[in-house]
Amino acid sequence: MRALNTVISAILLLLWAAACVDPFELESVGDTNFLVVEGFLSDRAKRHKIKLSRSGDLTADQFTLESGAQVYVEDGSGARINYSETNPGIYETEAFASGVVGRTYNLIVILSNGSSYVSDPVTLRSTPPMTEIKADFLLATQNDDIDRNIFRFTVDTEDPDNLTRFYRWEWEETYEIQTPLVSRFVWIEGPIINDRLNPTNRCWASDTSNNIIIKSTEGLERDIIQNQTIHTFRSFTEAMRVRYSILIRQMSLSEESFRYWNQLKSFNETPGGLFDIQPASVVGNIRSVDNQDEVVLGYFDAAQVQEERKFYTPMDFVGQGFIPTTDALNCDLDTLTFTELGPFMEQRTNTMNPFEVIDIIGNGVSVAPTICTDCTNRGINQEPEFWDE
Amino acid sequence: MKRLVVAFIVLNHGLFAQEGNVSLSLVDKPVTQILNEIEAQSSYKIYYSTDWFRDYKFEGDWNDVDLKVALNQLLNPLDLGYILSGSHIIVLPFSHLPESSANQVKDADLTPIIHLTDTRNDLFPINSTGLIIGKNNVDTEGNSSVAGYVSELSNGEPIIGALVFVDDPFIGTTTDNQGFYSLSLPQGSHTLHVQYVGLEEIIQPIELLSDGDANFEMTDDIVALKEITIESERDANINRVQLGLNRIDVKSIKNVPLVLGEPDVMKVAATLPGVQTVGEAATGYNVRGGAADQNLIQIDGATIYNPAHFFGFFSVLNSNVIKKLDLLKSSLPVQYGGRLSSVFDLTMIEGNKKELSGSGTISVATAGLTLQGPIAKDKTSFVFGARTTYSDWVLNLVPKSSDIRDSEASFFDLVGKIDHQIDPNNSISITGYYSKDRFRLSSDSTFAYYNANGSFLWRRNFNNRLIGELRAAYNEYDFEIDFDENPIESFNSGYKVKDQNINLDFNYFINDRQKVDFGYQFKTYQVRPGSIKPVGLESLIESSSIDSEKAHEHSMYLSNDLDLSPDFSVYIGLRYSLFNALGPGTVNVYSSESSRSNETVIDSLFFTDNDVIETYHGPELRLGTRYFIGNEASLKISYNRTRQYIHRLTNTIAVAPTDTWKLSDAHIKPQIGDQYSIGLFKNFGNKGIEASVEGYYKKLINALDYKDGADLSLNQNIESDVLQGDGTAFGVELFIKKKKGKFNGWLSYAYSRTFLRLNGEFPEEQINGGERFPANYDKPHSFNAVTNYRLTRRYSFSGNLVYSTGRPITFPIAKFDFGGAEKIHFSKRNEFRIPDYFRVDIGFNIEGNHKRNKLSHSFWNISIYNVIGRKNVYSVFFETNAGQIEAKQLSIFGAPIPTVTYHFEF
Repeated sequence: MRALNTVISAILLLLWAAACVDPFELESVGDTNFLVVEGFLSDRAKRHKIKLSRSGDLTADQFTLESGAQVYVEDGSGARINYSETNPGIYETEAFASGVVGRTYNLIVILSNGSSYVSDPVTLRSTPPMTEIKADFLLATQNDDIDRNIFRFTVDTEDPDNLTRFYRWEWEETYEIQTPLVSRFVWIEGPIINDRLNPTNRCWASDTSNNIIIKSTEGLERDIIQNQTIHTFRSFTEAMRVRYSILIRQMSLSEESFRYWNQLKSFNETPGGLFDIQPASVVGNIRSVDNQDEVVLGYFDAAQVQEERKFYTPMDFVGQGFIPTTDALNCDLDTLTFTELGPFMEQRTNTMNPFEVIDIIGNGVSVAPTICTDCTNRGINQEPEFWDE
Repeated sequence: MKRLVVAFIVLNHGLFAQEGNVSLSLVDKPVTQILNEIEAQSSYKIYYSTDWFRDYKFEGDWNDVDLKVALNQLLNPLDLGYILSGSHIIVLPFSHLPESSANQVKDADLTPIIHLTDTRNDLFPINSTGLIIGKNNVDTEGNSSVAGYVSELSNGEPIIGALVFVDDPFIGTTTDNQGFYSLSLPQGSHTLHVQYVGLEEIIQPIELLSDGDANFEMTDDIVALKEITIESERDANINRVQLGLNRIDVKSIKNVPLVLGEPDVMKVAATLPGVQTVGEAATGYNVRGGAADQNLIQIDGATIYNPAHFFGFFSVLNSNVIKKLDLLKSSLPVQYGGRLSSVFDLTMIEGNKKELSGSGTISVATAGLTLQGPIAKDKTSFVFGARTTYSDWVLNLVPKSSDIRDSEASFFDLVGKIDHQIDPNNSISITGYYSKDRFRLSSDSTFAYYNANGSFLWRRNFNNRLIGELRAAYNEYDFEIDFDENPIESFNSGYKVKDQNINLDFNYFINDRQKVDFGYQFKTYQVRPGSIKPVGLESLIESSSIDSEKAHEHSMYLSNDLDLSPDFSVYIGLRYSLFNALGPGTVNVYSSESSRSNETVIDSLFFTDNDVIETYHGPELRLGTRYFIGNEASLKISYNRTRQYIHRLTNTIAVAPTDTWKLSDAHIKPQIGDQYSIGLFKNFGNKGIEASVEGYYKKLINALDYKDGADLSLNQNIESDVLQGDGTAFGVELFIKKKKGKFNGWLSYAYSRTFLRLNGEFPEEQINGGERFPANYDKPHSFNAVTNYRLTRRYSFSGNLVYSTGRPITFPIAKFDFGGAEKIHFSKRNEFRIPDYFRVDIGFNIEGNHKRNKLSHSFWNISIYNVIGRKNVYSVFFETNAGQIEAKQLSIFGAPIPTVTYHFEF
């Protein structure tokens, strides 16, 4: 009963009154290089991916990718879906493919050194759709600290047949950034400027979920979830200034895969205390064919995916007390003659505060700091395909 | 000690050998002077004690008065008589005269009633009485028994563990839990010693005629005050057959600096060799490699299931009402059973039968008060103790911005006891105990837990050789959770374990070399393993509960203490226990093809009320020997087997209040422990130093552990997450204690290892691939120093030093990229260790003045816990921040914690 554990963790907060938490120096010992398999097959027609990499020691900041492997998924009837490597360690189905709800699949991986691995059979489970996605602006309850105001996105869902029971979610967010000023020209050299063909004043930044969001309705009479928090972010960030979009994917889990994700989450994401469950190595569903003792990390799973995209603008939250804000940048224009332009820009180019040409004014040009006109370091200035929906 | 030579003096029958008359003036003369003058005029030597002579004025003169008439005239007004023995006149109170002699001696009746040992006048040391025990009985020769109670004069409370002995030949015993002793001695004169640390030694010459009683009341020894003692008996440690026994006298621990200032006998116990905790403020004790549930913690025979307040920061036992703690780590006597590793046997004080008195303790976090006094003077007494936290003192330490500032935490405990002496041979006592902890979170969710215990004891001395005890007890532990974080998940959940038991115990003292104990115990258990109910209309929580459990446990036992020679003693005991798991209940049948899990249930068996679901039984052999090596050392060897039918389910690091107790059933077998131990005990008498070396080897069968990541709460098929395997523990313990002098205290060191092996048939049932691995509480080296330095009678310093190897932990060893973030891969179970633990505490103690009859005694303790402020690591955990793993360490008391405690008595 997970709620029970929640209560205990909450009580444990009390204990931290006298306790203190400090960084701990980790030392790494022994073999740390294990195969990591990440794979998911859904009912969607797309190029499905399998990622193969190696684990590293605790100081590692990047991970070796496992290239040159043979990867395929076999269903219960023996039919294969072949994958081929598109980027190092990334294997994609050769064409659009889709799994079938109710069918059973095995992942088979044969590395370039010949060692082979197989997953336990997984059945592609059906997933009920989300009944509602809600977005709220929440004022900080403590200390009236406006820095703590947040936006929160929650999901409601329900399985009338009471069969799903275990859920997992992922999100992808995209938001538009607009600069205060628009630069219409690109400075070339000296007094020469060209029309700016690729505007830099509108960008789109994206992020994806990297924490584990799961929920079980075990112990509830009905298979129903309300107000499951999927994503939150602080309101002072630039995400909610122009337009914001979130894509939420809902997937069902089996009891085993729930157990896997839950262990991974509890050993990775919950703060420690007096009454922590002891951590343990989390064993996924992939095994070495040749060596039973070999540690293989990761999981291969299959489920129907329900996904939905929502769009929001700052005005949607004004009713809840949100006050739209803008960057507090100093974006005053400076004007220069064409003869002044070359030396000024040359001098500015390699400093911390470069400038861009905004427009032509009379006999000269107006200029402003790059950060006032260019958002390409915070996002890409290419409008996503879905943005006009 | 003066040595008395036993000699037999045969009286001349029927006449005064030197018949004579006396003439003297009595006016203004004290009795002693009159007796001296009589002695000078006759050929008799006269023996007496000046204690008997009240200030009595005599009148007139004796003029050639018959000696016998003169003595009667002189002594009878003082309730004294005399015995003529050869050329000796022995003055005695009437009460001590042989019946036949009535208040004066008739020559013809005189028989050789007294075995005088010396003819010197100082036979009876001045100021003490030669106590005559038993009746003159012509036919008896050889041994007779003397038995009785030792109590404290000030309050009539029995003294447990007082040493009662004669020293030539050395024959001794210690008083039992009721202050009772029984000693079998050769008839004749002895000097009986009664010793108990902190109290003035009684040296009592006795004349043992036949079986009889002698009760003693001891008084405070002002000089001995304030010495830290852990064992009260000066010589008992080498004398008794048992190994692995430590006794803590609660009076002696108030100088020990403790966190939050609460004197706590359980925490002091953790400084003894072989006793460990997994970390600070964890109340689960690991004794000689046993899990925390393998300790029987009982107070006056009632079992305390959860001995921790506030998650282990405080013990649930109010030390003001505890008289002493016996910690038994091996050589368990047959009377004890049901837990594998140890017994923490706490004895409550008995109420003051003479006058109302009380004591109290006020510390920074808690306050406690104890009252005791007579209900019927000298017959019936009561003790009442209460303790509570100040409102949320601990929570006030929390930073103001924290989400938990609206939370509350509180606890209290109540304890009461009534003792009644029905007649000299029958006494009863009733003890009750209740404790409650409650936490309220800002959300109005609450969590509460309770202990409730009651016990009744009837003790009867059938005669000097046979004592019987009937004990009944009721024990209960509950917890409740009310959760309302959000409407659809609001619930109320609870757990309860309770047991009732009845014990019949007999001690039979066959002679001074042999004692037999036997008895029977019956116990019933009921466990309500958990239930959950929705709260509010919106809640979608499904009501559910796990089948209740019920069981009966019967135990019978018999043991024999036998001295084979003056140097060699043996203990042979057998306990036989039988356990029935009873219906109603449902038992899952699992497929034998794979590991137990929800999916592998192939059938269910239903049992109706009181159907026997499963029976376990077996003998528990308890053996021990003691061999004296010289006067001050002994070698002891023991073996014991124990069986345990109730288990605490826990896979958290420390024992949590939500851990539940589970009975053995069709799937979960009893745990069995075998322990072999050997010990060498040596005293350095004059210096008051005791030293011991003990070694042990222990095998555990069916020790409990859990599958990785098991969720134990409200688990319908708990057996699918429980693993049972073998454990091995071994170690060496050194202990040196200095009880006398300005500088006193103890040092303990233990090297101890504990390993478990879980090698089930299926991979899920194997931990670390079925290899043996160190248990969570495997801490090879541990060292404790508990010291006290007395500056003056009133001021003393005390200090603790604690070191232990860090406990094993499962560490992260590798990182990998999964699901868009770094994740951690952990090592094998318990492959690494947290850093070593080291702590120093200091304390300064101020006594009120030491006038014996001062109305109120007071005592201040100012102490600093963890004075060097070392951040001892309790646990290591990990957080993912922006996709990056950060390792954090949690320290419970990472800074010095000063406290002030005030203790008073009135």
